[in-house]
Amino acid sequence: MASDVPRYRRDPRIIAAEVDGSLVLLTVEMEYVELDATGALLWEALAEPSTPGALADRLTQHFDVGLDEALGDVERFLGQLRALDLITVEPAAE
Amino acid sequence: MTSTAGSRTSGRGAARLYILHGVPLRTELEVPAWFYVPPDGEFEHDPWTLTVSGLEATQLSMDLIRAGPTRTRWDGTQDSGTSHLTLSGGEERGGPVTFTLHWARRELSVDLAGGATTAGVLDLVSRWMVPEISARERGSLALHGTAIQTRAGTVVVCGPSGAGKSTLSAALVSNGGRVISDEPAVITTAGGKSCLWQGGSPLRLTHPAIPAVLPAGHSLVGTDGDGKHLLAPDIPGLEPHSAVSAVLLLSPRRRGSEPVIMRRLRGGAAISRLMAQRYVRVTDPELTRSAFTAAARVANSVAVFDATVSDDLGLVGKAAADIVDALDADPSQ
Repeated sequence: MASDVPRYRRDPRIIAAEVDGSLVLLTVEMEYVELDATGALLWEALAEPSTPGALADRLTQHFDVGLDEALGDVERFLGQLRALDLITVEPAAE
Repeated sequence: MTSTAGSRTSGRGAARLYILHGVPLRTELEVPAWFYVPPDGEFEHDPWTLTVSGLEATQLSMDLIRAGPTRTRWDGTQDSGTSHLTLSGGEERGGPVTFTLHWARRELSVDLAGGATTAGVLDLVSRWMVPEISARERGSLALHGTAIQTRAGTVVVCGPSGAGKSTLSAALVSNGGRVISDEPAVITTAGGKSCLWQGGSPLRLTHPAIPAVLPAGHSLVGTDGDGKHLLAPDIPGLEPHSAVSAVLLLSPRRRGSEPVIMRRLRGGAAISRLMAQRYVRVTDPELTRSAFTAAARVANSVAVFDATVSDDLGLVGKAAADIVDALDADPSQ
């Protein structure tokens, strides 16, 4: 089924390690980014190309949060990851 | 495939086998007394073979080694499974030195443009290259630090020059500790437990009173060209040492009457501070990623602390006692 929604995916060059319950990422520029439990859950999901809606659904399954609020959180999170070059964007399918 | 320790014969003469940071290394060079000669036995890996060129101009100096990681620069390239690493920035001190590691052939060659003493060559190899081999083959993390075995477990003291690393290490020895390894401290983590391999370098001590306070069984092996006392590592068996209980990352000394202030580091703070204390920081993404993974394993198995020690030398002994007491009471504090 065709979709006009872009899908996001981890940049495969980024490596991650769990330390003390946090997920720490090493960026391509050799900088460190620490994710909390919510961010770690979304990072795990981003192993596969994912739409914001699918990511928000995942949040509602694991946390006590409504879909609209979750979608807002996901959009902000994806914006941060894009600013740090941690994810790639696959164009919307034709 | 296993190899047996002991004397070896090659085309150029007798070669002996040594264990440095857990890596078996075969060399034909005469080694200083503080190098570790293992007992006969079976080894897990084939040994690496060390070859050296440029030794003709001997007796130049060990100044390049003393210049340390803050005054030298590393450049690294990799092709077809071979790493070429050049230590420069100390040309007036006997450099540059080029190391070539053939990973598949397990051969390490050293080219000394300016020449150096045999002991200097082995110190370079022990400090710089064997930790890299250990990092790649065993997932170890080599830190700019000193490892002291105390009654609260092995403590690794890291920090920049002037932070009091050597003085605190000596104070830990005076409190009953034993020097295991110095510059670098190579930590290997397996099964959620971090252990430390003995290295091949003596601890350099600056405090003039240190020789007088060392307990029995600790031997000084002389002084270096700067007049610092050299304390030999306490030679262990072939197995890795007891578990590392803590890594202390020293910040610059501070004024005040409090002997030591310790703050537990967690998560990204622990990893980034450990990465900043890596002994060799080559701008090679693959080696950096390996070190990151190793740092995470260490941070998950060892308590990592930011620590500042008083600049009052009279309080350093109390600081050492307080650290051991704190770790003994609750290593996870």
